[in-house]
Amino acid sequence: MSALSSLNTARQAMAAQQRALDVTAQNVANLNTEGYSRQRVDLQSVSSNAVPAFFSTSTEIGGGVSADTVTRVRDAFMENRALGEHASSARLTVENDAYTQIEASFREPGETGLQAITDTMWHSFEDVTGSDDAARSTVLQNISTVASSLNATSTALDEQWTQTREDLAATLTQANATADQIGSLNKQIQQATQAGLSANELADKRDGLVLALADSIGATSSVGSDGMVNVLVGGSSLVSGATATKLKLVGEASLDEFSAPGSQGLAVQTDPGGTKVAVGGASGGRLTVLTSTIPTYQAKLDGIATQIADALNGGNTSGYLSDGSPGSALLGASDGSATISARNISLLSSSPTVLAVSSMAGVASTDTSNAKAMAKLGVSSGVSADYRTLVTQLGVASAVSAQSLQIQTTITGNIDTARESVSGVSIDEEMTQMLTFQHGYQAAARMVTAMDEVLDKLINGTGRVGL
Amino acid sequence: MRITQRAMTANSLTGINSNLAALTKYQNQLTSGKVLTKPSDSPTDTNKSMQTRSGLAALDQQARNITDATARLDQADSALSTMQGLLQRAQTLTTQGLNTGANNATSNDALAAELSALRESMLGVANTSVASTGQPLFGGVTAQAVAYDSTGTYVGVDGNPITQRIGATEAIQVDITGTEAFGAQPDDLFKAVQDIAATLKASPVDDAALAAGLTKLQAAQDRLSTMQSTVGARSARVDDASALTTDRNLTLTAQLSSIEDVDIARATLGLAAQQVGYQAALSVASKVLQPTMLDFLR
Repeated sequence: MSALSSLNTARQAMAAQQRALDVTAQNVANLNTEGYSRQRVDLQSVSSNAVPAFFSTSTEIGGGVSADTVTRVRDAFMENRALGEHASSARLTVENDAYTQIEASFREPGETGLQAITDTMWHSFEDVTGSDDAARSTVLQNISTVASSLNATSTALDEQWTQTREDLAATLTQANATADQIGSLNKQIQQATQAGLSANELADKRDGLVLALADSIGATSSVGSDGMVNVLVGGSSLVSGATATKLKLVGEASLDEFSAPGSQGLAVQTDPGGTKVAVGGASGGRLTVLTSTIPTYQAKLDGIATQIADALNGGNTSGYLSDGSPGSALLGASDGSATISARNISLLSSSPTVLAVSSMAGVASTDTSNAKAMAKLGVSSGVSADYRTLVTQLGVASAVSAQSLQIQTTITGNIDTARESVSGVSIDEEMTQMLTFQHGYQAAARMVTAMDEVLDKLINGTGRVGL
Repeated sequence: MRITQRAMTANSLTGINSNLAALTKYQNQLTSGKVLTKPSDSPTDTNKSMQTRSGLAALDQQARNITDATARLDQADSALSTMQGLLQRAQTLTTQGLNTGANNATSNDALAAELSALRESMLGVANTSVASTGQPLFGGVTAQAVAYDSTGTYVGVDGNPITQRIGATEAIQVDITGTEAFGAQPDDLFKAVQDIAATLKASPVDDAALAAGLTKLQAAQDRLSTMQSTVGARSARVDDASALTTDRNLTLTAQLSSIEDVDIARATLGLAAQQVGYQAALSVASKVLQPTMLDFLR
């Protein structure tokens, strides 16, 4: 043990404390950086040569301190949970938005909703008396309004479907770009790790991208070799090491095509490969909206349109015109299709003479008993009640979705707070660390001064006893 | 749990945001005056609201039906009253004709002429048309413009009665056909008056035929009275229904308002409470986020 060795120890200590101060500075600098994980220097004491040599048994004490490793402080399990919860949040947000939009399309309860319009239409039949053409025209105008209201709601749903499909395609494009970035970051991290360099900042950036992928397509990650991660979507691999697979959307381009029998091929597939991928997150939500939510309500609306058409056509066919000849259908499909749906329902003729208000066959009369009977069809055919049920069901589904979203938002918020509490930078803590390392540095520097004095005494004072 | 400045900032922000969201909810309710704007606000209330709105629409129609029914019945009532007056005059004239001692051929001719004119007036009344639609009041469901043609032949069609719905399920007949009011052809009121006029014109006057004519007029008057009371009874029912409709309308409007409209007092109190909460959140955030150890390091 020499005085020079103590000087070396003090020098190492000063370097180590300085490195620790550097890391503290980095932490403070990234106090507000999104996705930054705080870093710590692993200070380790350097042991002396403990294994005795043949001729020399060392009595040396330790060889100072080393500050080689800087680690990221983060909880891998919590990060993995965050991926899942973020994916759920994104999925529920998309679904809830879709419900809100569908509710807006139905415009209930209110004066402009289908219910108010159909009620007016059914009741206006009671205004038909005698040979009054004005009242008949009003009825036909009201029927036409009901038809256009159904058309409008149907069109709104069509547009929502198309918009959602475009959104989904855009999300997948973005996810593909993100996956590519993760791949190239993986490669850089691998190179840095193999060269023994710190890749903490790169890893933070990559983990942020993985979280973005969890949001957009419900990705999960697993640890790979050399600091890399593998990204999985619905069980199939998206990023493996430095290579990323692409995703694409295949299937129908419009709700009309999608609803056609036997053509439900809308899916997310790997590209190339064509393997179906069960995506989650926002994309999973959009896929549910496209394949289930919107088609369900479109089909129910079609059912209502058919019921109204059947009731009106049946009522008018069983009645007689003012000249005593039998009435004909009032509503038909504007696109020439055999089935009447909300999309194509339309009034066939707006001439007041087509309304079969009489129930007296073969006699020219001003009888209006069939009109009075038709006024009751809304209630007796059950279409009013069915429509109410449809709106109530929509309300329940939307309310449940909003509630699930609210709960999930709280859960995701809690997880984010928990992650932040592990990885976030605390100013108080960094300041304390700063003081600690500052004092450490000062102490080491004081050590050098002390050694200096000792050596000074040794070098300059030796042999000068009595001088 | 380790607490960091960022976590505290994020928590404060979440709290402030949720407070603000609640404030916005109350603001929306108070500015729109509605608590129910979309089905998901309350699916049960949506169902109730839609049912109530349906009920109100039905009541509005009912009110229009009642107006139409009242107009038709009032018109029928006044036409029947006029007819009663004319009929009484015809009876008086016929009774004068029977007073053989005081009559000669000239006065009989005058009586006959007045009776013929009365018959024309009666036909005019019987051809009254409904003010709203122009169809003949006593013509049933005829497609013609009149109930009786110029010769006095009934051209009305006694088909299905004309009805109006005046309650949820109750419909009332609002028309009276010529047959019901003035007798079945060919032996109706107009024929009786015409026959009496013809008898008075002839010389000598057939007293027995005149007496028979008077009996027919009496029968016609009885029929008219019966019809008038029928119309009166129907009018009374329509009046009852009208009062009921008004009551029901008030009830349903109040019900709809209680479902859809905002309780101003409650919303205002909620808003005030939420405002206090919001201010507290802001004040706490500004106090808590401020100090760090930096404030104490020299």
